[in-house]
Amino acid sequence: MKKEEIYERLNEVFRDVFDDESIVVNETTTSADIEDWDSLEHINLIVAVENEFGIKFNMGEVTTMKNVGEMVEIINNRIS
Amino acid sequence: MILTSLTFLLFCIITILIYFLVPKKLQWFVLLLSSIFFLFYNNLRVDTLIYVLLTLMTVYICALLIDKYSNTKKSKWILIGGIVIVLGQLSFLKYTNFLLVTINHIFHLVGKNFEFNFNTRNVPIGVSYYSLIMIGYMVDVYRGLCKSQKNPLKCALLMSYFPILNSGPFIRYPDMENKLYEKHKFNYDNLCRGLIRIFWGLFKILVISQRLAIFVDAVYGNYTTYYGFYIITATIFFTLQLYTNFSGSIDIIMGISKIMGIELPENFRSPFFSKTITELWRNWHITLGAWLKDYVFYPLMKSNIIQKIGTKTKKKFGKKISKKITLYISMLIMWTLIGVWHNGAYTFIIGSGILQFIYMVLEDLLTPIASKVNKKLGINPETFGYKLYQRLRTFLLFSFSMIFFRATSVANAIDIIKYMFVMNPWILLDHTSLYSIGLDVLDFQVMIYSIIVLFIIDYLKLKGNVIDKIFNQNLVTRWIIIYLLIFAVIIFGLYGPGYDSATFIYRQI
Amino acid sequence: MKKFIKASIFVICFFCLFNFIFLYLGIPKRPIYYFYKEPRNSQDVIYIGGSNAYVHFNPLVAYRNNGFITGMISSDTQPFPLVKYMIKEARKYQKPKLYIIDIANIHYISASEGSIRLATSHMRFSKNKLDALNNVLKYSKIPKKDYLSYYFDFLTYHSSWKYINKNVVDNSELYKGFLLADVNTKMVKQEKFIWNSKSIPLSEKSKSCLINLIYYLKNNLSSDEKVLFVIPPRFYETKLMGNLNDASKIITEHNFEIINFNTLDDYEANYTLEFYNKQHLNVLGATRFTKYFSEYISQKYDLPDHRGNKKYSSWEKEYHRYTENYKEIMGKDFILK
Repeated sequence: MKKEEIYERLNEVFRDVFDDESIVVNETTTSADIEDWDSLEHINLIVAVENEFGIKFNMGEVTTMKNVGEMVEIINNRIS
Repeated sequence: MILTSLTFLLFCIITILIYFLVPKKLQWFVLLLSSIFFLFYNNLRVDTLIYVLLTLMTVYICALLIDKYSNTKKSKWILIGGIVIVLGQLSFLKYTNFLLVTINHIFHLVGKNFEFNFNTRNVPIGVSYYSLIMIGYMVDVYRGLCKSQKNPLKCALLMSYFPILNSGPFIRYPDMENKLYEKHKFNYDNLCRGLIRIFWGLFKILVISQRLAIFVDAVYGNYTTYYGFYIITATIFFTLQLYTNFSGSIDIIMGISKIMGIELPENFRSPFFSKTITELWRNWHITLGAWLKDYVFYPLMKSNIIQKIGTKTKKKFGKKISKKITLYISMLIMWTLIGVWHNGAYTFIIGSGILQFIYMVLEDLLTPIASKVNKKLGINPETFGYKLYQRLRTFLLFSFSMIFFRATSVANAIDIIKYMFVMNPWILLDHTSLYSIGLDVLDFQVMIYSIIVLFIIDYLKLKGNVIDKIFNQNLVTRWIIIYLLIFAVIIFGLYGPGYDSATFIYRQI
Repeated sequence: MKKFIKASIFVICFFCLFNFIFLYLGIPKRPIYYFYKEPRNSQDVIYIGGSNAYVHFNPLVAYRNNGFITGMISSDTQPFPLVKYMIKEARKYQKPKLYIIDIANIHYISASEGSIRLATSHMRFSKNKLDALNNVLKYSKIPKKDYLSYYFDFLTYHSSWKYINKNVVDNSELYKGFLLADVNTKMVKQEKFIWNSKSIPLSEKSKSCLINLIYYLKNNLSSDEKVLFVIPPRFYETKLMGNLNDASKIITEHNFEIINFNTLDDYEANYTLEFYNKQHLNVLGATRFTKYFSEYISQKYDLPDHRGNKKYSSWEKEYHRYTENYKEIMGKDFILK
């Protein structure tokens, strides 16, 4: 899967989780950029991403990922 | 060993001296030896030593095995096994009594008169802390955040590092790996900062907390006489007593560790300036909350059970409500555990557990309503007045929950609350009532002024590091501030045998 | 290196501040406090005892009448085990010709907190102080956990910040050791006291303290240094009186002098006019007592006469202060003749 496709599917997930159709994420997006993305929502987001791509993050990755770019890297590694 | 005792002072001085005199690669070993000494001095006996060793061996071996079998199903089962054993011995030591008491209650309710009895064993000091720390270590290894520690003695140090045995903070292996075992050169700056921190902790404990305790004990011990506003005052005082005692202990511990060059994570961040209970718990006993978030809350929210509940409720009630439901269920479990962790008694489960949960759920539900109301009424939530109202509200709600923390039983707490609802505010204004509860006018004044100083410092801490600010001053200012702190502790601290002036008026004359 | 110097200065300043502050945080001052303020080797007589010492004997009157200098090392209910150490302390700073030891407290072995602190708190930190404390604490009923606060006074006295005013002002009632305060200006009629010479054996502890003291004196004093034991004029309970008779016997057996002011031919306390309570002479009684006693010891021990010597001008000044305050309190002039 190409990275653009990952980002497209991610946008859908983000819009669904945060109830905001205008969200567009990129490499550098962090929790500071999206309202309501606190530590509680982070978990919901992770689960939604896991379900969307059929992968599982380990807890180490969950607590240490710094931005969407890192998330995409992990997704990419998992799928291929 | 009480933190403010001379024995502990002597112990620390000797440990620190030896620490900096030995060759640097032996420093961690010195820490281990002194920690073992500390454990034994605090009444570790042969029968309780077994539990300590059991935990250590279990964790050491499990971590190694988890590493060996990493990324296989075996490692998960090893982890679970390790957690079960450690939690098991913690529960046995701490909660057997509570469990039996509960079973006895149930038997009574059902009409049978069974009485199980259990002798409260000697619990190794720090068991509530090191058990969770070592569970965290195993989980971190499992999650790939660090490699297991091959040296069993170094592993033992993680578990027994004496500064944290008293009241934490909860440390994490990935964070401490580079600090505990490293070489530390004596650093004069660390010494100064550590000492200031220690004296600040002593100030909180000896000058403030000890005095508050006198008042609180007198009122709570006789609340049928000291009712109404006495109870309100004592409850507020108890909250402050708990804060100064706990955070003061932490300050002393952090100072000692700092002198040795080992930074520990902060446990308090001016909690009484929080605007909501939710925020307060992010600034009170921070490492406990962090531990539960990373090792209980997140795994819970991610777990299959919760996810299943989520999807089921989503179908029935919609996305928003299902999110709340899963959130609240996880929170309830987490807060019940926090309550249980504090002690095996319903007062703690309610006071530092369930009641906090209720507060936070209410806040979560009412916040959107409150902001709508504010918008309609044109109230600006960023003003000093509004923030003050939020802080006072938070503080008072928190204090109320502390009634359960302080009472001897739930029934006792409810009784105290009943006696609290008497209107006698005049006791705060007449010039005698408050000063006849174990603290005379002078003691009261010293206490109140010190509390004001405490709040000023806590406020300054919000704006930046206070010790840094002190160090940026010129020598004279710096020294004056430090001398004031030291002499405040020496003169106004409640320690040593008391001074009774009646002993010294002309005698036999 | 620079840091070490800074740190050292910090610590030194700290100790200076500490000592300064604790000048004002302490217990009320007793004569022993003022003993240290006198110049070295300036005293001819050292007077040791409990309140009977500094309430009965007036060094200013002794000086004015006979010219010798007395150092008072006494405090309320001075525990008897401490006498030896008080003499040791005196010998560090003075070379007197005569030691007067008031033994009215001979039964006071198990001391209370107040009497121990009043006696030892103002002692300068030295090995002698440690020995003294070890000894007196051993005999007392003070719980071991409190011992440290006797060696390191600040552990207790820091709490006296509440009474700081009283501590600062308290000292003006002592005049070269002699007390002049409201309490001892009163005149309370007492029953006439008759001495009974029946002997009651001293307790084990009292006896051993006395023997210990006697041997110390024998082994350490030179032939130029004389000792005079004193039983002051006052009321005594039967047992104490009997003990003092036993003590007198022991003292004379060891060839030391002892005067019992209750059995003299040419001196008798006036129980109507000269007491303010059962155990203490008032100022009138003290003046007459001192005149008699100072005349006696001045002659017997050939004490020097420093009157007119400019070195002792502080005594003239203090005498002046005494007479001024005497006039204020008593309403009439102090008469020496």
